[in-house]
Amino acid sequence: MAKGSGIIERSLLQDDQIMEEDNLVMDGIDISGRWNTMLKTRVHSERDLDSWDDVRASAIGESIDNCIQCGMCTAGCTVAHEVPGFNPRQFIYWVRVGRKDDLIKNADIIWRCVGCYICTNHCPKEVNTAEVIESIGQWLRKQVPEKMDQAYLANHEAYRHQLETYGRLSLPRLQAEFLSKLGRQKELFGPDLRQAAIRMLKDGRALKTLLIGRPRHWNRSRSVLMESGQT
Amino acid sequence: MSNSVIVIGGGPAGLQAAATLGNFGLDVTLVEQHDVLGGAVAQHQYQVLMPDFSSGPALVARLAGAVQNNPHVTVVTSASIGAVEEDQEGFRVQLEGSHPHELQAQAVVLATGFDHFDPRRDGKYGYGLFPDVITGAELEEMFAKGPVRRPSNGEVPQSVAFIYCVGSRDRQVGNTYCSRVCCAVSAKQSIEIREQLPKARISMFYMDVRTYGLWEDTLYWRSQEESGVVYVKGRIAEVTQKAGQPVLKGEDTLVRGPFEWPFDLVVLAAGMEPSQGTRLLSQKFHVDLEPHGFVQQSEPMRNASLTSRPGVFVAGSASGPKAIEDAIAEGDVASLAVMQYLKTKVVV
Ligand SMILES: Cc1cc2nc3c(=O)[nH]c(=O)nc-3n(C[C@H](O)[C@H](O)[C@H](O)COP(=O)(O)OP(=O)(O)OC[C@H]3O[C@@H](n4cnc5c(N)ncnc54)[C@H](O)[C@@H]3O)c2cc1C
Ligand code: SF4
Ligand code: SF4
Ligand code: SF4
Repeated sequence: MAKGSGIIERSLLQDDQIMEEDNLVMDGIDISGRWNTMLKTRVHSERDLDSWDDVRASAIGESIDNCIQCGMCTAGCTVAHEVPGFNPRQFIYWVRVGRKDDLIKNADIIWRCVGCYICTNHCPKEVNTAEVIESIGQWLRKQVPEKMDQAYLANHEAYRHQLETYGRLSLPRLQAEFLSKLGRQKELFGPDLRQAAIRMLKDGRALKTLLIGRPRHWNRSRSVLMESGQT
Repeated sequence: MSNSVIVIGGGPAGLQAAATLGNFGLDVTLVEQHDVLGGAVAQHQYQVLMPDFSSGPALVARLAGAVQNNPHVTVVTSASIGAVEEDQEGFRVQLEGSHPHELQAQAVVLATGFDHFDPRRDGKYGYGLFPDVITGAELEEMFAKGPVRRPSNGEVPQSVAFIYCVGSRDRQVGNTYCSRVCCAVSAKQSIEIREQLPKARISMFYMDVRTYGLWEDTLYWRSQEESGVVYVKGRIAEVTQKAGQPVLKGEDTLVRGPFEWPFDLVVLAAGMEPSQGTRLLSQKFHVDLEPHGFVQQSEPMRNASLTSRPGVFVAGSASGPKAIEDAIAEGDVASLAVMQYLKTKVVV
C-alpha cells in the first residue's frame, strides 16, 4: 500500500510528514496496518542559530544582517527561475530564524548558484547576497558533507587544492584534478577535450598557462589565507 | 526697520506660512521660482488628494487666494534668489528675475520642497524605455487630462501594476529613507483607477505597506475591500517588455518563488528627494543638512522649523518627505517660530 494511502486529502501532505510502519507493536499491542499512520507535527520548536553565528562571523557572510527580505535577489536570480527550491532570500531567512532542518534539506540545492552576482548588484540593502549564499553553502558543507553531490564536493576540493598549491587557477589543471577525483579521468581524453587541448597547444595558450608560475611570495600569502580559514 | 520676512517657495508649506505671517501683520514677501503657486500639487495637477479625497485645485485656490488677497503679503513669481548677505539688520537678498531688486528681511522661511526621484536613474524599471511605465506624478497628470489610458496605444488598460519604493529605501540609488506618502498615494490612486475601470486587474508590489496612522483602514484596507486591489509582497528586480507589454520580474516572498507577469500599465511610486532649490538655498543661507540631504531640523523637540542658523526657518518637505497636511501644519509652526524670534530680537 502506498504511504499514507488511508488519509483523506492525502494530496495536502508531503511524504516526509507521514510516519507509517509495516508492523508496529506499542506496549504489547499490535497496531500494524493502517491504524499506525501518524503525522509529524508541523510546529517548528527547535531553533538552531549556529548557522547564523557562523555566517555573520565569516568574512564573506557578514552582510547577512543587512537583509530585509524584500525578495529582489530571488526576483533577479539566474538560477531561481530555473531550479525549483533555489531561493537566496529563503536561505538567508532560514539561517536567521534558525531553521536548520530546512537548510539541511536543501543543502545540495544551494550549490546550484552560478556566482553571477546579479543578486548582489540588485540588493537595495547592500547585502553581498552572492557571497552570503556561498558562506551558507560552506557552513552546510561542514555540517553535512554527505548531503552534497559528489561533483560539488570534488569541485570544491579541486579549487581549494589548486589555489593552495599554485596560487592561481588554471582551467586545464582544475579540470584534470576535478575529473580524476570523480574517477572520470577518461573524459580528459574524450574527443571534446582532446580537440580543445590540441587547439590550445597550437596557439600557445597551453604552454603559457603551464609556465605562468606562482604569484610572488605565494608561500607567505598562502599561509595567511589558509590561517584565516576562509578558502 | 519693520518686521519683514521672506518666505521662499510657493508650495503648500510656503503659502500657509506667508498667509499666517501676513494675517499677524508682518510684512511678507513670498518668492516662487515658477509662474504658478501651489508647489507639486499645482505642477502635477493633483485632482484628488490623499488622504481625504478632497480637491487639489480647490486647495491650491484657497492657499493661493489667502496670500494674493493679503495686503501684507507681496507675491513674486518666476523669480529666484541671488546673493545673500547677513548683517546686524538682518538678511539682504538679491532677487533675480524680470524685476531684479534687493529684499531686506529679519527672518527667512525655506519652503523649497522636494523633487520627484527620476526613475531613469534606476535602469531596472525600464522607465523612459517602455512607454507604458509611468510615474505616480504622471498618473496624477493623466487623471487631470481625462480617463486612464495606455500611453503606447491609447487603449484602456486591462491590468495595472504599482511598484513601491522606487528611488526610496535603496542603497543602490543612494536614498536610504522611506518617502512616507507613496504607499498611501498609490492606494488612493488604485481606488481612483477602480472607479474608472471596474474590470481592470490592479496589483501592488510592495516590501512593506506604510499607510501609517489613520490611513490604514481608510486607504490600505479600503483599496482591498472595496476596490478589489491585490497586494503582492516582493520587490521588483526588473521590468522588461514582451509583445508590447511591460513584464514585471519579481519574487512573491509569501509563496516563495519568482514570477514574470505582464501588465498593460505600470505605475512607479517614485519617492521624494530634496529639491534643487532646497540644496541650493541651504548653501546660500548656510544651514546644515541632515544625512539624507534635507534641511536639518536643529531642535525638532522644541519647534519643527528651527534650523542650525538663527533667523532661518524651514517648513514642509524641505526638511524631509511628508504629506500636504503636515507641510501646511509646518507653515504655521514656522510662522510661530518667526514671530517668537522677531519678538526676542526687538527686546534685545
Ligand atoms: C506623486 C505624488 C503624489 C502626492 N499626492 C499627495 C496627496 O494626495 N496628499 C498629500 O498629502 N501629499 C501628497 N504628496 C506629497 C505632497 O506633494 C507634498 O507633501 C507637498 O507638495 C509638500 O509641500 P511643500 O510646500 O513642502 O513642497 P512643494 O510642493 O515641493 O513646493 C515647493 C515650492 O518651492 C518652490 N521652489 C523650490 N526651490 C525654489 C527656489 N530656489 N526659489 C523659489 N522657489 C523655489 C517650488 O517651485 C515649489 O513651488 C504627493 C507626492 C507625490 C510624489
Ligand atoms: S535583495 Fe538583499 S535585502 Fe532583499 S531579500 Fe535579497 S539579500 Fe535580502
Ligand atoms: S550569484 Fe547565485 S544567488 Fe546570486 S543571482 Fe547569481 S545564481 Fe542567484
Ligand atoms: S511610503 Fe511606501 S512606497 Fe513610499 S518609500 Fe515608504 S514604504 Fe516605499
